[in-house]
Amino acid sequence: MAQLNISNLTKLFDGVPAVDDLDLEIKDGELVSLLGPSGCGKTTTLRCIAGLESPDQGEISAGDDVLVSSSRGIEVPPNRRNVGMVFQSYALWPHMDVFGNVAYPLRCRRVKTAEIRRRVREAVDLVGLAHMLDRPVTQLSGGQQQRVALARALVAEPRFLLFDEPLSNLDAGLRATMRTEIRSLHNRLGRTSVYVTHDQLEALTVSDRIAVMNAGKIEQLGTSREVYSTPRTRFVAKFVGYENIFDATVCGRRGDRMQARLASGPTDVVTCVDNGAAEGAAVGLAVRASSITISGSRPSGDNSLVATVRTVAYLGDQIETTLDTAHGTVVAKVAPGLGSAGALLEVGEQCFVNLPADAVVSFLD
Amino acid sequence: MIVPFGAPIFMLVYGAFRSTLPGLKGAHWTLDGFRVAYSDPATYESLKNSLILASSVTVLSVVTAIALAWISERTNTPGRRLVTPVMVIVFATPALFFGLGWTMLANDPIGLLNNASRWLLHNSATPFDINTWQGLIMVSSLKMTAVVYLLVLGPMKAMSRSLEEASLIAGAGRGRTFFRIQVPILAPAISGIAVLLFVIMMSVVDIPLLIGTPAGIVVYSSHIYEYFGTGNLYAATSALSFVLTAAVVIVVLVQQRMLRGRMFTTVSGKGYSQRRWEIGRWRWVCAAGFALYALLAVILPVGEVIFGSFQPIFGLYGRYTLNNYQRVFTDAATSEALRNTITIGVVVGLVSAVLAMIISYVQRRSKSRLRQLPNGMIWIILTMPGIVFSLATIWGFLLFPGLRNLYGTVTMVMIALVVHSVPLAMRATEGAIVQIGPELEESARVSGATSLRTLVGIVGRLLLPSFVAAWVVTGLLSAGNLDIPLLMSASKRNTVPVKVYQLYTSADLSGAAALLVSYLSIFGIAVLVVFVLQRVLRVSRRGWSRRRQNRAYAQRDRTAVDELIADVQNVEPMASSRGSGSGGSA
Repeated sequence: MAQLNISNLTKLFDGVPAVDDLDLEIKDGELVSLLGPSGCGKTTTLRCIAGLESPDQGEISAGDDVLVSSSRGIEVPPNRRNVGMVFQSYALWPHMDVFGNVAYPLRCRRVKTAEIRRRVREAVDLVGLAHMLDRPVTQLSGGQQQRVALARALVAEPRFLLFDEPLSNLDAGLRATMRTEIRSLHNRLGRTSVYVTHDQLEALTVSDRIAVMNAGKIEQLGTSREVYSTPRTRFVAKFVGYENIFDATVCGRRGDRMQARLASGPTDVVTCVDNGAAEGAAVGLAVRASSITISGSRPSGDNSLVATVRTVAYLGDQIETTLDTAHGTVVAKVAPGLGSAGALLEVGEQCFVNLPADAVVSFLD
Repeated sequence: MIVPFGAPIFMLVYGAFRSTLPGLKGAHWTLDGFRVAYSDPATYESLKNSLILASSVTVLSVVTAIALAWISERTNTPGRRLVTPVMVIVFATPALFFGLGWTMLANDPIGLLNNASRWLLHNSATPFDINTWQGLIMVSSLKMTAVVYLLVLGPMKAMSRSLEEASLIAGAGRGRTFFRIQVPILAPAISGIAVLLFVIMMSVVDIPLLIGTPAGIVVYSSHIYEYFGTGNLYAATSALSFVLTAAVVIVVLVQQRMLRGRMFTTVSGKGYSQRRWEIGRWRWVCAAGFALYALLAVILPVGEVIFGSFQPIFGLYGRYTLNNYQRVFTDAATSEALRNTITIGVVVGLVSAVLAMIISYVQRRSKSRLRQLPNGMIWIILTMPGIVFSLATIWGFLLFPGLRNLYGTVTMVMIALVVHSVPLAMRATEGAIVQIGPELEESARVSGATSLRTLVGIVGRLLLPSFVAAWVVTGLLSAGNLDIPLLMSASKRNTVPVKVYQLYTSADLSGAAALLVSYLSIFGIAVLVVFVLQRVLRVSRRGWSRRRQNRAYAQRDRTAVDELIADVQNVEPMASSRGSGSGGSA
């Protein structure tokens, strides 16, 4: 086990950076997710750690061991890095059974036969497949293949565990089960892990920390809660699911709240969570649709905008309403029910959208 | 449908037990054929030779083809994009051409290579002699490598790169990954291809006749040809063929049984990357290896055949003439052969493609239980060596009075070639028809189209590119086929391959070269025209590309060359051992 350090990592594909001067430090026993849309460089970063890509610049080291360093001309091949990896396609070898697949890393390390048998059994037990040792892997279901892949990655007790979108080939129900299992496995084994995903829910459940990536750079690095509740850039806000983002300028403070004037339309002032920005700074304000409330009459206080209902969609446990305001379209999700104003709205109706100050987060633009 | 495909099989068995030519009076049932054929020591000698040839060519071509496929698919070797086109050229060129080209290059003493060596080294040594075991094996392997390459390309592409990466990460080196992961995963596919190749090599006639016979190496198939040529050993000839066919069927069945449920290459997930290995300095070694293959398989023989066609007499250097070409177009028999062959290419290709379309369509859509029957017959045709097939067809024609009149005509040759190439054409059409879901037809019907309009406007239109590909491929291979017309053609009404062979045996190599070059130029131009037409169509279609999301529709954007490659790859190694056999022996 070890700490993982990545510094100045750059990887070009045809001259275009896929990973752009990236720094990341992962503590011993920590599970960090790389979260981002496809093409953001998260998988490339993971493959550089594994040794499957050789970076154009930068250094990756495991504790004191340098794995790759462009300046020092060091590059340890993947088979000597002692890492375990779970591939998106599982990459199980179809000509071997479950035992053969899981035992392979141990055989490569010249472990004695009896010892191999013991450790394979242990690893397969961990993922709950003990009764399937001699099944051909081609006869397993997607979820079982995934578990075999996990056991194979764990069995040799590697320094790092790398996950490359391991759950994206599973159906929704199984995905929910597996991400809880991966997390509890991590709690038990405490192996330094890097987990690549484009699914924010997966990242939030599994990780100690999340690195949100965009265009080869880390936009924000923080705990699940930090990333989810205080996005620090427009990209992160959008990516972690803030449906409504307004451009604004900081215009003052009131108590422990910041006040900002919306950029477009009439001078509406919104009170929001303070991000410490100087007065006059351009900021973005982000609000989740589920935090917004709708009312027929203007409530007291600043944080409400005049709106006209454009569409109403019934989603079962929520009603999604889009409304036109002077500051653009706003999406609101309210629970259906007689007491709630949103449930009674008609298309074309005039109303007010209210942005609770606690729920409006801001980031420097 | 069953009659034309079933008849050859029946005739072969029938002929083996009759005392004279089938259809003649006074014939009786006998086992003499078997007695004569299998008491002849030459039979066993030729069998031994065939086994030696088939096994060495199989090993050499499989190894070379895998290496070349790996270079073109998995590495960053410079020039890798040329590998597939070169292989398609070698595949589509008749084997005769390579036989002739190499005979002219390495003839002892007057071949070009010997001449060059004398000139360079200033001595009278002639280090090259094609009419040897080495020559026979080398030329056969050069040709067969292309067949194997096109077959192995599919599995190689399908093998997910992440399987190799998983092995590296598990701690295995490149070598262990190659032997423990890549080879075992490809093994079923490769063994299938190897069996196919072995079977082809057991039954081909062309290169063994051209190169082996002058060296005194008689293989089993040329032994059958010799028996046929003696004129009174028909039952024995059938008996020899019967055993060869039976052996081929058994080999294919055994291989199929061994592989049941073990096709690994179908296992691949969403691979992240199919990017290539950076192989550093080795890429120059790989490039050199490919260049050597291209030199031996294409540049030298093509160059020599063209060069030699201008020599007044083969081996006479220093004077060049157009005389040979003049002869091709003025000599009545030769120019007729040329016309016949072009007719064969166009008509046989077209008829085979139409029949293949119909059979595949009926198989796909019919709900009758009998629909699998033609498939079984066709499968047996596929496993039947060309020369044996030819023999069986002759018996069939002789037996029926109405058909007897066709004996020795081009029509008979064409009928035989159609029956022989429909199975190959079906490889192209079956895949295409599977791609067109019944819902496309149903939606046309629901939209108000009549069933005829649906068939022409929807199904026909979508199948057009595969149809053209099937036409081109079967036309090309039928026209270049020597095995089938060799036994069937009368001395006058023959085809280019037969005529080339006749010129060759009468030592008129320059004439043979000129004829081959003329023939190949005509076909080259024809294929080029088809290719350009498809390109033009493709460009003009770009305008309404929104409909291209349809997969079957996107299929149309492939050119003839793409189809040809896909076509060859569709020839599943196990089920169709003879499928590219006609490719091999074309």
